[in-house]
Amino acid sequence: MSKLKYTIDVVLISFSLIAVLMLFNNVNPRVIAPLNNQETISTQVLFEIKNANYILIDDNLEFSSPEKIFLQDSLKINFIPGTYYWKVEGEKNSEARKLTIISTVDLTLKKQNDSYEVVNSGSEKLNVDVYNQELYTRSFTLTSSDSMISNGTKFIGGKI
Amino acid sequence: MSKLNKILLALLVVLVLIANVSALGVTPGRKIIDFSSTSEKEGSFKIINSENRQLNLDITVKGDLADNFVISEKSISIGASQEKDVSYKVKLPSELSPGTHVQEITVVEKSSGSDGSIGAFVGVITQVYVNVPYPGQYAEATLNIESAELGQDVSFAVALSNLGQEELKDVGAQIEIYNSNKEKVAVVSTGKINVALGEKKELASSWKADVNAGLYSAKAVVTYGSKVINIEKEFNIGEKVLELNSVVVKDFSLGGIAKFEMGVENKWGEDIKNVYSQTNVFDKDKNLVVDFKSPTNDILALSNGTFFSYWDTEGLNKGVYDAVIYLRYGEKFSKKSVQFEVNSNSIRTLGLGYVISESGQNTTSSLTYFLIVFIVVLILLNVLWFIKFRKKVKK
Repeated sequence: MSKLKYTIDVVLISFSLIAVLMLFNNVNPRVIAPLNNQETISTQVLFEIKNANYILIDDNLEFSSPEKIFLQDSLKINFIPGTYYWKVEGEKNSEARKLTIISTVDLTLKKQNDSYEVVNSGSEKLNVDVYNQELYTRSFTLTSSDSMISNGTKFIGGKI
Repeated sequence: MSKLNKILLALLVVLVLIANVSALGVTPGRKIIDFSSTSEKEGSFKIINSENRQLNLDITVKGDLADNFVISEKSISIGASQEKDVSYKVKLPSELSPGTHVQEITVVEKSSGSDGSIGAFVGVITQVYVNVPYPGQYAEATLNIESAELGQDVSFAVALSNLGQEELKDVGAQIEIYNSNKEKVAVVSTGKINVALGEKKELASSWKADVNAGLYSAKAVVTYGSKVINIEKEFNIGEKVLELNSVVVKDFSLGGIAKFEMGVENKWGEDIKNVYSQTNVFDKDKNLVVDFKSPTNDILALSNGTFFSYWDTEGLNKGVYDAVIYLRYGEKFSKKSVQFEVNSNSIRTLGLGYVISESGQNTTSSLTYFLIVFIVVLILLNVLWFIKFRKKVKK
């Protein structure tokens, strides 16, 4: 009789513990990517998060004016260079994490007959100064991925 | 063409492409140095050669502190598809005028001796901003507004930077909201915060947009100590929306010209100019039967307008035709899919109703509910077992 009693004890306690652990695992947000303090030059960041409904992104740790985005299984978000703090909301909220998008200034020239296609292949909006035989001729603005056809012998791009 | 010829042709294409492209990158695009009594500051940047050839580069500094910079390498070579870190030191003078001193480090291809250059040279700039604090209390602020739909909250955030030499205490902002007729529609206030030296903080507030859709402006007055910053910014409430309310064809006979009267509502708080309708009608095989447009017209703010367009139905059979009606204005358009039921003496429009899709919202998952119920049941079982039944088993 005593053996039956202890068996019932063990079964009840085990089931209770398993159920509590499953509940804990199911309500706690699980952040797979990106890592805390991640620094990247890519302006598109993949967020892989389980057990959460929304992601909150802000440029300050107080999250005073966060952008709230509905979460899908794998969500790609475009950022402009800068430092961001983010956390997720669900049954429970995650801790705040930091993400830094490092700015890149990248200029590509493609020859087209007697002129050049100047492409902003970096992440920043650029001012491009055009020189002809070391003589400054003009400037133009290029947003990221934007391009412009121009004549010249030297093209120098810098962040606006 | 033999396999060898194909490979040679592909190689030639690759070589021509390489010869016609030149690329150079640098990161970060900007570094900010806060001026302090420490006379020497250090920094670094990375040069990225994404080309398939070696690049020979010159590095120069421009700005009022250019002579104070010491760059580790003023002339470097970077191999194909390689990156290289370059460090620098800047000796700051003991005194500098307040504000931002912009220095530019330029990395540029050497104008001679670069094998495989395409006839022009590419250069990139990494900037170094030296921020010198202003005497006493000094702040700069920007206003960020997150536009919203009708009836939702518009978020205001005033980003503050303390660029002075003293801590800022009890900094707050009042934001006045005006409609396009310059009438004040609301006033909201933020809380008050302290901003330490060199710190950036945010004052936030929100306003429920129980107003008409349209263009609004916010005037923020930020106060710190005895100083005031005024900022003004425009924002939208709702979207510039035109809604097709009705499509009527009167006095029609098959084979003749059908006159379409389209009733359109402007739900925007301002006039929308140069609007026209475009109607595409398709047969059962999804082939375009006809594409007809109305003349352009302006629709006044929050008013209705009528657009007339014509369809020559000569040779058309009776039946039901799929159609898409576009309301075009500028580069934007509203679109509505309908069906036209064409009879001998009438055209009836079917499906003129709007479907509003809602974004999904994850609420508590069913597994969570199940687990919560399961745990409650287990707790009851535990209580019953340990308090009541266990004693009976003992007996």
